Amino acid sequence: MRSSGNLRLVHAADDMALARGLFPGQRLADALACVPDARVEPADPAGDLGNLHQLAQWATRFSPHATPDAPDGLLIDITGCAHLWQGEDRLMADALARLARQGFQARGAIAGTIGAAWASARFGGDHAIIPPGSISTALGRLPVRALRLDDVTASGLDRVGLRRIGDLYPLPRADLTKRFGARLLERLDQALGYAAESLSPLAPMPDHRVSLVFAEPISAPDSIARATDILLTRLLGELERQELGVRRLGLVAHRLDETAPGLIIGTARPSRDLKHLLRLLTEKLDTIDPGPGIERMSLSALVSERMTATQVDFDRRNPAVTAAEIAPLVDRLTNRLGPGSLTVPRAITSHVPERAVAFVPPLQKKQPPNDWHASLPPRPIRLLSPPEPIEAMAPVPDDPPLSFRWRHVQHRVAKAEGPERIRPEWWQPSDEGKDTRDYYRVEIEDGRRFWLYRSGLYAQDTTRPPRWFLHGIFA
Amino acid sequence: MEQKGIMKHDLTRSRPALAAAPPLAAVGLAGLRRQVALLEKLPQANAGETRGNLTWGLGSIDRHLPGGGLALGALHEFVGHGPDLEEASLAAAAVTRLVSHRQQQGNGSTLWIARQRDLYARALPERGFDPDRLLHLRINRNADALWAMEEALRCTGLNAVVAEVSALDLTQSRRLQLAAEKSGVPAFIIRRGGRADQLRQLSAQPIAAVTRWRIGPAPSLGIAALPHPTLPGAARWHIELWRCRGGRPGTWLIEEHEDGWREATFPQPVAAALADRSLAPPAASVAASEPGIKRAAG
Repeated sequence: MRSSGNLRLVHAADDMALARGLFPGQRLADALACVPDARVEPADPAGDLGNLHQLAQWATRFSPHATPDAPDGLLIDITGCAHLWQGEDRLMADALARLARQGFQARGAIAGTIGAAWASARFGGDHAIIPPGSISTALGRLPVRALRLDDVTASGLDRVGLRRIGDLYPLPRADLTKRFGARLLERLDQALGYAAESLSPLAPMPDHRVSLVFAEPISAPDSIARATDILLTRLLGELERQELGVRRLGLVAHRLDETAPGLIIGTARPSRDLKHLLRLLTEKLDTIDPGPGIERMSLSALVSERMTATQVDFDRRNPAVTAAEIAPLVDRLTNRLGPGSLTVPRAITSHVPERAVAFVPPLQKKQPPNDWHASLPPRPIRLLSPPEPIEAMAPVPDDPPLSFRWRHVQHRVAKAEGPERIRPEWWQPSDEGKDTRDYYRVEIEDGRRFWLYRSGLYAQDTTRPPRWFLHGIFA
Repeated sequence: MEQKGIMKHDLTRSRPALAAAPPLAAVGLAGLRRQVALLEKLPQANAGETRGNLTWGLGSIDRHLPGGGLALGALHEFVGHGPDLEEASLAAAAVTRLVSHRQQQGNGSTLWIARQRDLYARALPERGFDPDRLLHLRINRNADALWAMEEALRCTGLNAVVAEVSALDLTQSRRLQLAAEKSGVPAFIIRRGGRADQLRQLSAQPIAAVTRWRIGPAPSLGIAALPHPTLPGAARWHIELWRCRGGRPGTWLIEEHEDGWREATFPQPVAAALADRSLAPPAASVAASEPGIKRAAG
C-alpha cells in the first residue's frame, strides 16, 4: 500500500491477490471491498532499493558487471561469462533458481541490448533468450510500453493506435520525434541496438580477479585464511607477470544464503609482498561472518599500479628506499586505525596560522617540495584548534593584556611581546567578514608562554567589542 | 667421567674471557661502568659504541647521563612539570629538538602518535626539526597508541617514535622497551591527556623507561623595554631527571636559544649556579660545582 495525496493505493500485490482481481494502482478501498481478508502493509521504497542493491552485489557472482535497475530490475552484462555455465540458458536457469530459493519471483531474459532484455523480461514470454539478429522481430510483437517509456508518451502512442513496437518501424522518424519527443526514438534505437547504451556497474571493474569455488561450503576461520592465502598467491602471480603491484584489494565471500560480505584493504604504495598483504588481509578476516557457510571466495585487485624495482641503497640516503621501508608500517596503521589517521604535514602558503599547515596522506607521489622556512616570528609548538576564548583585560587600543582568564584560571601576564597583525585573507570566501587579529606572545608569572590574539580592533563601533582568544602554547 | 669432562670444558670456555679482561688500573672508571652495564644488560652497555645516542648538546646534562646522552633503542619518558603538566608543550619541544639531532645524522621519519593534531608543524623548523620527516598518527584510544608504538618500533625505517599517552603500566612499558632494544629505534613517551591530578598519579607509577624526565617552565629574565611591558627573554626550562637506569638523578635550569639549549645565565656574566641560589652556601661547594649546575638542594 502506498499513499498518493489523500488516496491510498495498492503498490504491489502477490500472486494470490492478483488472481482475485487486485492490481497495482487500484484504490485500497476498492481492493479491500473485493478481498476483505487481504493483509495490507505499507510500501517501503527505500528498503526495496536497498535490497535491490544487495541483490546486485550478489549478482556479481555471474559477472562483475551487475547493476540494480530501479525500481524492480537487475541488469547483468554476461558478455563472455555464459560459457562458465555451459550456455546462456543454464546461466539464466541457475540465476532464477537461486532467486526463487531466496523467495523472489523473478523473470529473466537474455538479449543483445539492455532495452531488448528489459522489454522481453517484462512483456515477453517466459525466460526468453533472444538470439542475435532477431531482436527487431522479437520486439515487434511487444507493446510500446516495453520501450521504457514514460506514461504520457505511452498513452499518447496508445491513443493514435500505435500499440506494438513493430508499428513504429515503418513510420517516418522525423514525424515521430515531432510528435512524441526525441526520447521515444532514442529508446527504440537503444532497444534495437542502433544506439549505444552501457550499464554502469555497481563496483568499478577490477583489474584482476581470482576466485575459488569450494566443493563443500567452508566456515572455519582456518579454512578461510587458507583460501585467502591461495587466492592471494594466485593473484600476485598474475600481477607479477605484468609487473603490477596492488594498491587496493577486495575480498568477497559468497555465502550459501546468497549474501556476499567482503572487505577491502589498501596500501600506500603498490605492493606484491605476499607476507605483508596476507597479514593485512588476515587482520580483517574476522569481520567476515561465514554464516551458514561460504561456497565461493573471490579476491580482486581493485586498483593496481605499475611497480618498478628499486635499487638497494647502501648509505640510506635515498628517500625512495626509506619510503619502501616504512610502507608496510603505513599500511598496517592505516588499515587498522582507518584512513586519515596517519598523515604528514604539508606547508600551505598562508598567513593565517591554522591554515598554514594541512595534513595529507603519507607517501603520495609527485608532491611539490614543502617550503617550511618562511621567516616568521616564533610559532607555538601546540596550536589549539579551535582557538579557545579567554577573558582578557588589556589597555586600549593595542597593548597586550595585563591578565586573562583561561579554562577557569586567572593568569597575570608578566612579560609580553607584540602585536603581530594577521589580516584575514580577503580572497578566501570563508574569510569574508572575519576580523583582523593581533597576536601577542605573553609569558605568565610561572613561566608558561601563550599565543593570544585579539580578534577585531578597538574602534568607534562599540556594539562589537573585540574578543580575545588563546591560540597556542609555546615551549 | 662424563661429568668431569663437561666441567673441564666449561672451565676452558670461561678462561679466555677472564684473561681478556684488562687489568683494573688500565680500564678506569668508564671501563668499569661498562663492564657493570654489560653484566646488568643495560642498554647503554653497547650504546656508546655501536648505536650512538641522542645528546642534549649541553655538557652538564650529557656528562651526567651514562653513555653521554639518551641511549638509542630505549624508552624515555617525558612529563610536563608543574603548570605545564597537562599540555606538556615543553616536553614535546624537548623531544623534537632531541630527535632533530638524529635527523641530521641519517635518513628516516619520526612517527608522532597523539590524540590531537595540535603539534604545530610551523614551530618545528625553529628547533631544527624537518616537518617533511614527520608522520602524525591520530588515535582515539590509549590502547591503540601503545599498539601502534610497538608496531612502529619494529620498523627500522623510522628514526624515533613518539607517543602522547596518559596511562602506561609496567608490562606495557617493558614491551615497548624490548621492541626498542631490538630495533635500535628510540621511543619517547610524553604523558598527556586526562585531568592533572590523574596524570600526576599515573606518571608517578613505575615504568621500564631508561630515563624519566620532568620538564617545566621557569620565569624568564625579561628584557626591560619602554614604556611598560617587559619583553620575554630566552625561555627558561626547569629540567629534572628523576629516574635514570645506571645513573643519578639531577636537576638543571636551562635556557632555550635558536641553536639549542644553554645553561641559564643572567645578562651579567654570572653563572646561574652562582647567582640563582640561596644566600649563604658553603664556599667550598660553589667552587667545586661546575658552572651552570643548579643543585637540587639549591
